[in-house]
Amino acid sequence: MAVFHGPSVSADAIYDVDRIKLFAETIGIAGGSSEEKITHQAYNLLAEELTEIMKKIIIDANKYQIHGRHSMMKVADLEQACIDRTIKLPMGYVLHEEKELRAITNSSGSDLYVHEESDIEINQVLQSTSKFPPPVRFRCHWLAHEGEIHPVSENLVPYKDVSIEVEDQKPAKKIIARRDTAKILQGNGPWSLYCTLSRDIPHQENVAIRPLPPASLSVEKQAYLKSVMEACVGAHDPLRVAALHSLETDTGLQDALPILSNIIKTGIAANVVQRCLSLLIYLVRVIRSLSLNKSLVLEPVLHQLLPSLLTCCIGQSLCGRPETDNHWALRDFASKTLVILVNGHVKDLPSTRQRVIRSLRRVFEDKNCSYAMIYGTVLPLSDLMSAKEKAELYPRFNELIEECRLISSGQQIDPHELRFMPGSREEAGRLLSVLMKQMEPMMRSMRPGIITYPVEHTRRMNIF
Amino acid sequence: MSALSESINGDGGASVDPTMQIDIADQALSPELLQRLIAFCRKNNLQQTEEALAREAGLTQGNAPGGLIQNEKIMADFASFLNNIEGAYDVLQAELSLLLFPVFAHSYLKLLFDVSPSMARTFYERFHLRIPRAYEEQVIELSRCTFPEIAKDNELVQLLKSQHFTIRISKTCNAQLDQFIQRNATLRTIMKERIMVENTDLLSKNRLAVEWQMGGLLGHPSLKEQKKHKVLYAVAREDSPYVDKRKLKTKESKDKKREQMVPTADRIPLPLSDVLRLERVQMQKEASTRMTYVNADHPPSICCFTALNAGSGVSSCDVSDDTSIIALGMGDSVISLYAVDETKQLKQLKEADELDKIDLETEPELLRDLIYDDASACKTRTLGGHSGPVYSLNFDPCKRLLISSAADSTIRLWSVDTFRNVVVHRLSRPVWDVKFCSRGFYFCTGGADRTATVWSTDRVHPLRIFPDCYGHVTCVDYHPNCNYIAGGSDDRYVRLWDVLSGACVRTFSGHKTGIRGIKVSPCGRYIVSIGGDGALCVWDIATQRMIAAETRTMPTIMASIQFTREGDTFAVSHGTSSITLYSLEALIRNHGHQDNSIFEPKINPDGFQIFHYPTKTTPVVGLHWTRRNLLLGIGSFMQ
Repeated sequence: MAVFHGPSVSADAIYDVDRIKLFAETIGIAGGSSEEKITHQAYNLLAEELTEIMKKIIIDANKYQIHGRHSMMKVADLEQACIDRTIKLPMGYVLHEEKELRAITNSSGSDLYVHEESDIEINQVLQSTSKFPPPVRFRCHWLAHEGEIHPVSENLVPYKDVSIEVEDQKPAKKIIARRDTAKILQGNGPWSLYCTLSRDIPHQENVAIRPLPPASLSVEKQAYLKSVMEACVGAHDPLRVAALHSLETDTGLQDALPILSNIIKTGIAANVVQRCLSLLIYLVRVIRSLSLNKSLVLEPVLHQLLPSLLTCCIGQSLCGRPETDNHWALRDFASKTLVILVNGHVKDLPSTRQRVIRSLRRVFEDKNCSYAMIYGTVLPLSDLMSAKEKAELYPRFNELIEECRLISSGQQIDPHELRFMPGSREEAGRLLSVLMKQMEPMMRSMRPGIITYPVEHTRRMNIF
Repeated sequence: MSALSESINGDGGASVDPTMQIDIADQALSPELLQRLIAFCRKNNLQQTEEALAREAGLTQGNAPGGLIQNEKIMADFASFLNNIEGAYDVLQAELSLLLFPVFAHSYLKLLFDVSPSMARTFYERFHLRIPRAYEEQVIELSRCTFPEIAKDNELVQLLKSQHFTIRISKTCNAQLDQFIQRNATLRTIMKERIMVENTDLLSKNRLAVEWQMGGLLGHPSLKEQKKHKVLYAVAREDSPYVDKRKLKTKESKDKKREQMVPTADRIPLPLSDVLRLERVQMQKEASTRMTYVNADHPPSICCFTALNAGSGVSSCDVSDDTSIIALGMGDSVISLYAVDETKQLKQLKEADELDKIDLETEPELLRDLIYDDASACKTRTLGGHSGPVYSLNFDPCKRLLISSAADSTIRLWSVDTFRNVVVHRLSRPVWDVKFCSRGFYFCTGGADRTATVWSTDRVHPLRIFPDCYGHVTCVDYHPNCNYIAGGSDDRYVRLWDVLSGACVRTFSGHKTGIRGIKVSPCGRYIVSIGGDGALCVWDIATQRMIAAETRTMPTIMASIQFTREGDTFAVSHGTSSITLYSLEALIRNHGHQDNSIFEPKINPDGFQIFHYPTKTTPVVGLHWTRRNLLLGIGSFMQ
């Protein structure tokens, strides 16, 4: 509803007298001291007239807006209203989208920034297959079916006021329980208290994952599987190479896959707990062989392989003596395998890919994670993420480089500060080397101009 | 300005300059002085003294007051008029308040033109909040006229100055009004020159009923004028294929009465083409076998067609009667046709020389397949020709023609068989709405040139022009018996014109804003209209009054009203993100039989609004009921 406006000159005038005076002075008809001076009354009338004309144009434009069924008034509506009053169209503002600036280095040292202006190849536009603008098309869906609003994403499903039917007994039960608790609180020890309180808590059900159906394997296959797995985790190296080669090339493994993946999964889970680095490496090698096997479809067992691999990449402690054991090799190997697996077998599952990236990214960005854990994420992140996503990671990337450089350079650091650094000098050095390795591809994927290039760091590290 | 006027205009203090008193005491009793004294009495509400003084001085009522004092009197007179109304009985108070706006407006204009803008402004500021809310927009428009020069250009002022403002009040009220007029010179002149009072026997029972008569730019439509015309509102049986068979059995006694209201078939020439006859047979076949009924017990099924990628916006849409083609009028002046059924794609007619080769003696069913070019079949077609947003679209009943109007002030007739523009009517102002007659051939338009117009498809010039409106004709609808046209206008009136005589046979007032949607019910007796504030009104053509109004709605862009095929229920979209269903049948059943002597419209009656379905972010531009009563909503995403 409209609001009442007073008819005073100044209350809602679009043009007030002072502005009209300014206009008159601008075009030199104000008269100054001469006799032809425009009187105050004339200014007043002009201001009112102009305001009235503006309001009428807006009212007319509103009509065009309404009949065009827009919720907002458009420039075209105003133009049409102006045309109706035979007013010349005002010169409009067209805001160009911000183009990228190109820097021209001057000989004097100061840079000059210019808009890139390039000729458009008309043939290219004409021949391009994509049509622009996209054609109008219909999406058809039920709004209501037999009066019930159809629960699809196109519809506004009404908020249903779920009123919980409180039975008469239930509050009584609650009161009794509360009374019991009070009694316990007064008398018994903490254990009994815990037991009583946890009695009514519903047990959280884990998400039920359908167990893979036990495949009926032929005796030969069972024997083969047994010997292959034994060879893979056994001590005999040439046999292991042969077994891995067999896994990589055998075309008949698909039906044995569920069992195989189950073995790998349980194997990795057990050996992570046991911190048996060598067995972990053997199992990851099995995964690598499987993911290289062109005849296998790994999608049904990804839910077992991917978590296991991720564990090997970013596990907190993968070996008994982190100072001496080469868990870096495992992390390296697992992360490379992860990239192969994701690139090779998760193509049709973009959400799975995103989930892998997300869990890696969470570690990468977490300041509490140790350098060893972050070490495992760098390679897969840089290989799996798109350039745009990488740009988001850039600040953290820089920060890590700074930190590692600081620690690994051996400079005197305030011991108080060092305490908060999640890793030793050696770990920092390792991470730094892998980060620097990824630096260049990362830089290349970035568009210049978005980020500040850490020139000083790279120069000092003699990378370029 | 004299001291007296200052005391009136100022803060209302009763102090009188002592020197002035001495002056008065010294002066002889001139008519001028007498007027001042009377004005002073009136100002201080000394009515009896004033009357006594007037009587004693022998001041007759016709005496014209002196120049300067008259100006001061205007304000005092309006104040006393307000006091009088407030002092009246409750029943009369409501009716008398009908007079407030015209008297206020003319007093204001008198002050503006005859005295000074500042005086008019003082008057406005003092009284504008006392005017009923129904006239809010007009009062604001008056307030914009701050100088006589501006006011002369204002359409509302021109209208008020050139036409009589009509009000309809009861006899008792009129008697009371006469008493006020006796004492109030300004009121007397305004009533005499500008206001026409009509007596009515119709009692307005409460204040609400009176309020729902307000809003028209010139008050009530004159009932005397309307009584001259008889409206034959009923629809012939052959024109209403969707008659509920259950109803026919129960209401046989009423049938005779209804038959009398059916216009004779030759009242206006109505061609019925062979194609349409076939179409109607098909219609009846579908209706008799597969029709579902929609009412409060049987909720509807609604299917939404959401247009995506419509950057310039969908400014109009229409669906052919058999729901085979959807037409969208775009903001970028293009009309797009879409085949709803993928198996029945849009086919073009074959070229003329190929058509000649076809043997005409083949069966008509086969002939229909033969004349179309199968190679041209496609799902969508684009019709280009307009140069501005397409404001309205309508298919003719046998979907061979499509009519469209756009911002470039043209009406274009398209052939759906050849997908070509057949006729262009170039006008001076844009046309807002076009509608085909239910038999085709005729179509009506309403536009910014303030006229509703009837055209036929075989002539270049219009057949009838109805110039009664004081504002843009924003929406029109053809009466189902093809003899009348209903139109809604920005001047807040709903009008019904007779195509035969060209006369405006019914005018309804009650909307508070311009009208944004209108539809005549399939039975022909009721008109549903929607105003810019979202108020929905149902008018009865037979009894010439409002039955009900629904105000629980939102502001409206352009409304779309569509009745179900049997006409019991109608769906409404306000151009915003929702679809609402109302039951006309329930309304008539509960409130239709009103006492003829009492005017009592139902406001937000129970059982009228039956369903409400919101959409997410898609404003619904158009609605359509299929022949089985499935509701289609057509909208444009995020428009």
